[in-house]
Amino acid sequence: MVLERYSSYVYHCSQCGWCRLTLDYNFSVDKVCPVYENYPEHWESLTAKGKIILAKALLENKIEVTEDVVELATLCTTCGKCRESCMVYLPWKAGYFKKVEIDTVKIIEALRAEICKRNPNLLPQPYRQILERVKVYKNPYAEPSHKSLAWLPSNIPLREKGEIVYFAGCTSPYRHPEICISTIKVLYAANVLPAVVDEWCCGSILLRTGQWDYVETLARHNAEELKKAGAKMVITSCAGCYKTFKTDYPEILGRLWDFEVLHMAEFVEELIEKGSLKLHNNLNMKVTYHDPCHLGRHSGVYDAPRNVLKSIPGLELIEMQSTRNLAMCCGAGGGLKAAFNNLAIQIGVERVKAAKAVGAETLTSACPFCKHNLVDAIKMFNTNLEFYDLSEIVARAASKP
Amino acid sequence: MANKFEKLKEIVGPEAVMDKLAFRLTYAFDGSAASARALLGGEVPEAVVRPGSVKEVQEIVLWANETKTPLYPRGGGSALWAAIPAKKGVVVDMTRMNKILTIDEDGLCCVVEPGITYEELKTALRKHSLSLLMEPGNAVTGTVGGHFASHGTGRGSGIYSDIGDCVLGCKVVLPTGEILTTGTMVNPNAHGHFLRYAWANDLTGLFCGSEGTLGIVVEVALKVERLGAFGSVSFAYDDIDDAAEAIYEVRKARLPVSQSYLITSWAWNTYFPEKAPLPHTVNFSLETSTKEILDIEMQRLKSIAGKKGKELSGSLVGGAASIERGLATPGLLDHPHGMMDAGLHVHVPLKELASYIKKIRELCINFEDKYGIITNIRGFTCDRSFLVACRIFFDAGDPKQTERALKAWHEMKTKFIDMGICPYRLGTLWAKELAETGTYYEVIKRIKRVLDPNNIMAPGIMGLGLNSEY
Repeated sequence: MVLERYSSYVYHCSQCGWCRLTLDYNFSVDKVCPVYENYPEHWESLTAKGKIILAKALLENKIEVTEDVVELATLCTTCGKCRESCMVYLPWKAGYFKKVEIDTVKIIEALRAEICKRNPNLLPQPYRQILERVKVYKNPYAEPSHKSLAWLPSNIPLREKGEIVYFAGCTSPYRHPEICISTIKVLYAANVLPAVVDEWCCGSILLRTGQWDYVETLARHNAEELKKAGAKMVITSCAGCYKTFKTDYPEILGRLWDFEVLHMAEFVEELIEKGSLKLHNNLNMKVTYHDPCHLGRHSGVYDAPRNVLKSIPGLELIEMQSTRNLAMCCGAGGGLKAAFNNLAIQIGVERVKAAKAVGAETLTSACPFCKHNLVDAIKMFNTNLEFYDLSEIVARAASKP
Repeated sequence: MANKFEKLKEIVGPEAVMDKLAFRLTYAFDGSAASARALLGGEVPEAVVRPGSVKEVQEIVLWANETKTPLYPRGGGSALWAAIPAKKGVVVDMTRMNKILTIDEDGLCCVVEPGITYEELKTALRKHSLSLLMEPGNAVTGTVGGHFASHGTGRGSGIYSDIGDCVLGCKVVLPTGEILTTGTMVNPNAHGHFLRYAWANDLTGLFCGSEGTLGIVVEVALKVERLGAFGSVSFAYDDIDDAAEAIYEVRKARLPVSQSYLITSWAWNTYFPEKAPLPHTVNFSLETSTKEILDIEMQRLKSIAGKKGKELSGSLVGGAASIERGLATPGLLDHPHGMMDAGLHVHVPLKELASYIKKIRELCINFEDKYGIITNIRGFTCDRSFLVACRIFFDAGDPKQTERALKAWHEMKTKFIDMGICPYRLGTLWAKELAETGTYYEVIKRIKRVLDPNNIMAPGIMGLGLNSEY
């Protein structure tokens, strides 16, 4: 049983309920679960506690996998704010205990994997479709693989080999190519000429939705391609790819995965520090930064994107009320957008409202999936807030007049 | 079965009734050890309903009478004493009723719906420069309704002992569907709540601590005060006699200590065995009307508590100096190494604190040897009482260890009663002991039978309303 591997986490839940409400930096009440908050009714079951209880019942064979079970297990963005609020996780984070006793995100992903093992046909149809598409097209959008580099500007030469590889991911090239284009332009502006490889989907979406079996095939392919290109460093502009490379691939591939991984925000921060990248254009913008869950909570990268934004002349960076490890999710993650699009957008609307509440005129993030959902949310909320990915803002600041 | 709940859907709206099993499971659990494993949990309710108004609660109760369906009111779901369904029925999740109805700054009172959490209420009151007299340790998810219905304690107990001393009245939907208001609002022309002991018998007290067995609390009137000054200081003691004496002497000196919180050396050693032996520690929280008075009382406190203790500065056990939040919450160390806690929470007389703590410690050692379990002791003052949290930790992932811990828990409970303790919150856990209290129990049963002729309110909680008795 897949879930058995994580049973120690499951039974370490104290059922205290801090995955529903917590305290923020000012010791004020802070809402934790975006799904609980935005579902038509506030069912306690929607919080991590409810899903862990469901996992217990499955582990003890008290219930069968039914449509209800699948529905509850998939109603989660796996954003991990519940983990940051957990009374059992915090003592480890505070440095009191050496071992992590609970990881709510792992439990929820394993719960989905358990469902997938027992009855994959009950998984939401969009999840199953994603798996089929990834198997056939090597991306979840069923786009022909020859289009994978269609985004590359014609004036930028393609390199097949090099120590630095740019891994574009799936959502950027096929849905938001402006992110790849901007990233490449920024790198070129700093005289970094990365190589690109024959990428397959990193597998993040499959890991989050419990469809684990095919991920190793994807990981092996990507590792081999990187090796063939002579890569030492992988740069990505996708928070999902980044988290998968940083934490999942080493678990899946062990020593085969031997590359330094940087998000473009981290790499650009370094370039600015070294003086290799000049952000000379004055951008008169009031910007607030939304922490992507995969980059922030899951990988601990909070300062790099902020430092990059602060380096841009004329740009005013404003913080939303909940940020960094307590940032509310955009709503897109964990397969929620694929299975429950309206709920995902509703969650995004709350983030848009939070940005408006602090007087921001532009909302930015460092993840194509956040962009995908927050742009939908801005449309639904019908507000004049603009959205640009971090790479787009940096490209504007770096472009030569 | 689906038809049975059609009426409920008409009452509260279809979205506020849940009958899917996966979702209902959660409501068979709370934060107690009794629900550590699914196999030990309460009954899974047939449905969960979330009323949004007094009228909806009233109609739910009338429906339950017609259909003879047990109702189990629920607040934040974090109870440690098994406030979970003992029979099949419907859980009434009160967290949708979370409004503040009145903040009476002049009358020093606020009236709230039961589903509001203490932390939310505190935040709202702070804007009016007001504060609560008491709040539970888990103010973040703990609701006013759950606290009131279970004789809650917490910060403020040092002075007021129990939430009962901090309320002015309540409104309850009785098991028959009638609405009862207590306190001065018995007279609907009264200008708010200003006296709990109004009119005849103190019916507020009948519902405070009744744990949902006599009706559904739909409003609580809480006393509030102007925001004053707050200070806190901790002392370390090598000897438990000295720690207990300091706590007792501070209480006798009539210092405005809202809570004296003892974490015994044995508890610290459980959390941080590699740093053992650690001392006993007591954190004293002072609350006064002004900063000037706080300074004076703090000096008095330090001179009494410091006679045999050493004032602590900084962290006792190291680790990160602080994290973003949470460290101020005692609950952070409630689950050392992820273990569940079969907590025995009992009141003992403050005047005999050292003697009781030592007796309980002796029992703990015996049970640790007998069952191979880990225990620890901590607690805090409740006016003339001291609430001892004797804790039995176990890994809920190990069914055998869980079984041993719960066996130890039951055995210890009996020994505690023999020692003369008073149990804190009963749930389904202290039913046997309550049933052995003779006339006291008989009167409670009679009251329940009169108020709840169809036995719909939380049957099984506190052992009341089981079929054989009705």
